[in-house]
Amino acid sequence: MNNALFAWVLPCGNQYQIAVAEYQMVEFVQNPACIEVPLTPAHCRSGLIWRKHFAPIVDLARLAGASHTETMNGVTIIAYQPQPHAPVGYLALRNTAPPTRVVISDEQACPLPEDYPQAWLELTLSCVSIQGRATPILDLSRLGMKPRPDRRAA
Amino acid sequence: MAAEQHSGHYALLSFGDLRIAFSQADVAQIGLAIDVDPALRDGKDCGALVSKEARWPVYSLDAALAPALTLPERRRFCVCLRDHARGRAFALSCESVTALTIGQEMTVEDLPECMQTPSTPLRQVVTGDGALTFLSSATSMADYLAMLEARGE
Repeated sequence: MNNALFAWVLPCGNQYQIAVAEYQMVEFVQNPACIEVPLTPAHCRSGLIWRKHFAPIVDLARLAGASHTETMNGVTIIAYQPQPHAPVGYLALRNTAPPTRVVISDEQACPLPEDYPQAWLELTLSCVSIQGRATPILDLSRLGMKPRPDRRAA
Repeated sequence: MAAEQHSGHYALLSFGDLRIAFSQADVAQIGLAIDVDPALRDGKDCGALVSKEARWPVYSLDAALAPALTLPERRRFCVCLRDHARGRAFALSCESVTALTIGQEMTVEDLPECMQTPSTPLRQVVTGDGALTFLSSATSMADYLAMLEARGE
């Protein structure tokens, strides 16, 4: 197995799941106290206080276009660097079940499925097949950026 | 996520579960909701407070920052704010107003980029006292209210 790496698979609801590198995952918080933030995009309506920081909760299923998402089980705190030399940022990704740890390798690379959500395309770095399911790896720094006008839903 | 060393004195307004703080330099005076004259209603405000110095249109925003045209009973205070940069004056009704001093034990960060929209008057978030507080300014809030008026919302 070439270039095998540990990763975490995050179930995001509505049959969507993504994979993140092991070093990007900081913590899984079950049933967090969510704080609503007014005038925010539809996929990012709330956040939580985590280790004295405010982390926005990102609903990837909602971003994919789901109008109704499954019940949240918890959030995965993800660390990312918005740009080189910038301080680390944190996102809380909404999950419908706890993450699972997997090993992935180059051989698992696969094409994006035909019904892949349009809104995820610009965020997608690559895709791997995990237990037969196409599982994208997203650019988390772009996910933390200001939403494009067509993604705003204030 | 750049955590800033921040200090200063703020007026902390509560709107249901939403807490927004303004620099005390933006606060001109604090009035009572019972003194609001609803007959002076104009646009999206719900009346006005009139003092010797100025007329303060009073806005009542809910926890989603949507405007109401009448003052809810729980809103007992009106905080009069002055946008020094553009000379605008207005008041916000709120349930409580208290002093907030941001000290070293608190963390001040910009509102996360992915939550920023052109209309939001919320600029920063403060954590560290067990609750989340948003920082705004009289200028940002005046811009937001002007946008509501222009959109007719």
